[in-house]
Amino acid sequence: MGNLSELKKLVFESDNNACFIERERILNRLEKEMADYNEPDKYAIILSKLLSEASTPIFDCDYFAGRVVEALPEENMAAPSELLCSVGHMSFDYEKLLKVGLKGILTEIKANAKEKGDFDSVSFAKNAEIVIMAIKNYVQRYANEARNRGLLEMAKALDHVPYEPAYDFFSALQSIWLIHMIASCYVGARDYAFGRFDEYMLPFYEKALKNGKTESELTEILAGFFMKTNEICGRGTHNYKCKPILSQASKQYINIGGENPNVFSSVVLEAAKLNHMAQPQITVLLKPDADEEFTANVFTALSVLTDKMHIYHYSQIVEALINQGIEKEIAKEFTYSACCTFDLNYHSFRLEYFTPVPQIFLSVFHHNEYSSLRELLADFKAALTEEIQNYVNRTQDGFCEEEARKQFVLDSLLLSDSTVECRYACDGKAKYNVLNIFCPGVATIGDSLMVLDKLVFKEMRYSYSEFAEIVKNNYQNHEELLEEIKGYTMFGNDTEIDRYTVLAGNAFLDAVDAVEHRENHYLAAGFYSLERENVWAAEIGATPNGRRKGEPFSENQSPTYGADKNSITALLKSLSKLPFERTVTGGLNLTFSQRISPEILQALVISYFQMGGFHIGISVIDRKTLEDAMVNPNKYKSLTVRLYGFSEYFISLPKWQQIAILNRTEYCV
Amino acid sequence: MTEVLKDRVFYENSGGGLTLSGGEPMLQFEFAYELLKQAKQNGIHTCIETCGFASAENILRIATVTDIFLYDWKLTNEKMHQEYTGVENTLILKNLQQLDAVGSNIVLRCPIIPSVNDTEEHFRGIANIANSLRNPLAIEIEPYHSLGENKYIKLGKLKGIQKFEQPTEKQIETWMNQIQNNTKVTVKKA
Repeated sequence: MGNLSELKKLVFESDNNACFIERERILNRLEKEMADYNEPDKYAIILSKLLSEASTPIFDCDYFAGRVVEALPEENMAAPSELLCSVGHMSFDYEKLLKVGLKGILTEIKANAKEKGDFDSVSFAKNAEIVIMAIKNYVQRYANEARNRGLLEMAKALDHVPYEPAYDFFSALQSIWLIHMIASCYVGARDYAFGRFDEYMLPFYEKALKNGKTESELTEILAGFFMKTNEICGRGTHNYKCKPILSQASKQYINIGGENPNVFSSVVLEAAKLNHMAQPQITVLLKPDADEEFTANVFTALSVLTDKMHIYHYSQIVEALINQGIEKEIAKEFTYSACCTFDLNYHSFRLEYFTPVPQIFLSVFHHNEYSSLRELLADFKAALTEEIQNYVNRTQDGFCEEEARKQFVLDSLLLSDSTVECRYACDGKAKYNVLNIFCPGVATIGDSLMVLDKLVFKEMRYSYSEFAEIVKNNYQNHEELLEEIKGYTMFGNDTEIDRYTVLAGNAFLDAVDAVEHRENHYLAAGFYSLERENVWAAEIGATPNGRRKGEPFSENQSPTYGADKNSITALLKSLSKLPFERTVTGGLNLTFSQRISPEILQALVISYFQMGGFHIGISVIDRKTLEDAMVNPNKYKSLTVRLYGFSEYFISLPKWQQIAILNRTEYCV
Repeated sequence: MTEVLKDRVFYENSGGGLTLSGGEPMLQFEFAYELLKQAKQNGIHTCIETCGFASAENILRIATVTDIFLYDWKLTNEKMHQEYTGVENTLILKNLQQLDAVGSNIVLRCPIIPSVNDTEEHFRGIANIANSLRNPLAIEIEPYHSLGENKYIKLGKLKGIQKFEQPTEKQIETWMNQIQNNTKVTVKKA
C-alpha cells in the first residue's frame, strides 16, 4: 500500500526546471539515428524504442506503477523534444480500454483495416500493433520490478493491463494510469481528460465492495490514483519559465454526475478531498434536481476543495445540445476537458477558437457613424460571422496541418472514430468535430453598448463621431467624462442595464448560428476568455465603457473588474439573464473572502441554476493572504486559486496574473 | 418589496429569508415594520438584528411580523453598559422579557471584547438571562474583530477609537465553555 503524504511531499519537492531526462536523451539520440528513415511506421518505431529503453521505477510510497524520472536537462539539450508530441486536449475512451484492453482494440483495428483493405488503413493497423506490443513489453518490465519488490497485487495487475481487460478496481486504475502517463509524458502532450469517470468505474467499485474491500480502502486507492496526476506537471503551472516537458501545466479533468450520479460519484468526491491537490480537476455535471444525497455531497466537497472543483448545469447543457441537433444519447455523455472546454466525450476531436470579439467590436464601432444600436449590432454580428466563418473554413479539412499529416499517433487508439476508420481523426472527417467558439469580453461589449446608447443616442450629449473620437484618443483630455462613465451602474448588479450585455451575448450567438459548416462539425459557443482579457489588453484600444487602452477587459462570463457592487445574489441574477440556454461552454469564477458553508453554497448554486445559470467555480481566499504570498512565496507552496477553468498554484503565476486575481471582487456570504 | 422578492429563489433554496440588520433597524421603525409585514404577507421568513433599545410598544409591534430576533446582549453590568454604550440596559432587558412573554424566537447575540466584557460575571450573566427565557434558540457569541478599522479610516474616525486585541481561537473556545457550563442553551459562534 502506498503513502499519500509521501507522494504529496514528492510533488511539492519536485524541481520545476527538471525534465523527463530519459525521454529527452533517448529521443535526441533517435532523432539523429532515424533522420533518414521516412517509412510510415517511423512514429511507431520511435515510440516503441523509447518505451523499450525507459526505466521502470517503483517507489515505496507508490500505489500504482508508472512514474518518470526527472533531472535537470543537460546544457544545449533540446528539451522537450517534439519528435513524438501530440496535441492532447481530449478525452480518451477509457471505458473501452477497461472492457477489452489494448488487445481488444488491436483486434478491432485489424478487422477494420482488413475490411477496408487500403494501404493507409493497413499501415495504421501495423503501427497500432507496433505501439501496443511496445506498451505490453514495457509494462511487463514494470510487472517484474513490482514482483522483485514483493508487490504481488501490483505485479498481477501489470501482468494483465493495459493489454488485457481490467479485472478489478485496482487493475482498472492501473491500466488507465499507464496509458495516461505514456500519452502525457512519453508521447508528450497536455490535458488528457478522463471522461465520465464515475460511470465506467462503477462496476469495478461495486465488485470490489462485494469482494470484501471497504469503502475507505477504495477511497484511499483512488486518492493515490488522483495524486499521480500531479506528477504529470508537478507544481509547474502557468509560470514564467515553463517546465521543460510537453505536458507542463497539464489540466486533467475528472467528470462525474450527469443524468444518474451513482454511489461511486460520491466516492470520487471523498477521494478528491483526501488528495486535495490542484490536479485532477473535479468537474461535476449537476442537475438542479439531482439526488439529494449526491447534491449535498457535492457542496460539502466544494466547500472543502473550493478552486479544485467546479460545477456545470448538466440538464440545461443537454437540452442546448439536443436543440442544436446532437443525438440525445451522445448529448447526454458530453464532457469537459482542458481549460473548461466542451467535448462530446471520446467521440469527437475538438478544437477551440477565441474570437477576437473586443477587437471586432472596436473596428465596427469606429468604422461607421451609426444612428442606432440596432444598426451597429447588425454590422457587429456580420463581422463576427465573417471572422468565425474564416476560422471554420481554415480548419474544416484538417484541424492542424501538422497533425493531419500524421497517419498514426498513440491518441488514435483511444478515440472511437479512429479505431473504426483506421486513421487519426484530426483531418476534419471524424463523426463529430467540436469547435469551441469562445466569446471573450461579453460584459465589456455590453457595458460599451450601454454607454454609447446613453451618451450618444438617448441623451445626445455627444454626436457619434465626437464620442468615437474621444474613445479613439483614449479619453485623453476627457478625464472627467471617463470618471463619470466609471461611476455608471454596469452589468452585474441586477438592474435593467444588464439587457445590454444580453444584447451583446445574443449578437455573438446569432453570429455563430449564421456560420456555415459541415454536418459533422459542431460549433460549441460560449462566453469565455481564458486569459485573453489580459493578454490581448495591450493591443486593444480604449472601449466606450470607460476602459482605457491596455486595461483588461471583462473575464469569462464575469462583469468588468469592480463593476459588481451589489451583492452575490444580484450578481448571479444578472448573470442568469445571459442567453446560457444557447451555450454549452464557458465558465464563471467567484471569489469569496471566507469559507462558506456547504448549505449556503448549495443554495446559491442551485438557485443560480434554476434561474438559468451555466457554471460556477469558486476560490476562497482573502486579499491579505494573496498579498503576503506575493511577498513570501515559500510560505504558500500549496496555495491554490481558481484561474479561468482550473486550479493553479498562486506562487507559480506571473505577477500580472496574480494581480488579475487580486482585482476580482471578493464576496462575503 | 420588489427588490426583496427578486431573491425569493435564494430564500427558498436556503431556508433563509429577509434579515434587517444594523445600524439599528428599530431607529427606522415604521419602515422596518412595513417591510417585515410585507415580507410575511409574501411568505418570506423574517428576522431582525436589534440592540433592543426601543419603546416597548414598538418592540411588541415588530414582534408580530418577525420570526426570529437576533437580540444583542452586550454587558450584564449596568454601569459598564452605560459607560460603553451610552445607555442603561434596563429597558433592553425589559424588552427582551416582553418578547419572550409573547413567544418570540430569540437568539441572544453577545459581542465579546477582550478586556471589556470577557469577564466571568458577564458570562454568567449571559447564561442566566438565557436560562430565564422560555424558549431561546441559541446564544451566539461575536468575538471582537478589527474588520471595521478600515471603515473608520475611510470615515476619518479612527482617531479616538479604542483598539482591542483580536482574540485567538483558543480564547474564543474558552469563553464559549465558560458560558456553556452554566446553561443548557446551545452556545455557538455567530
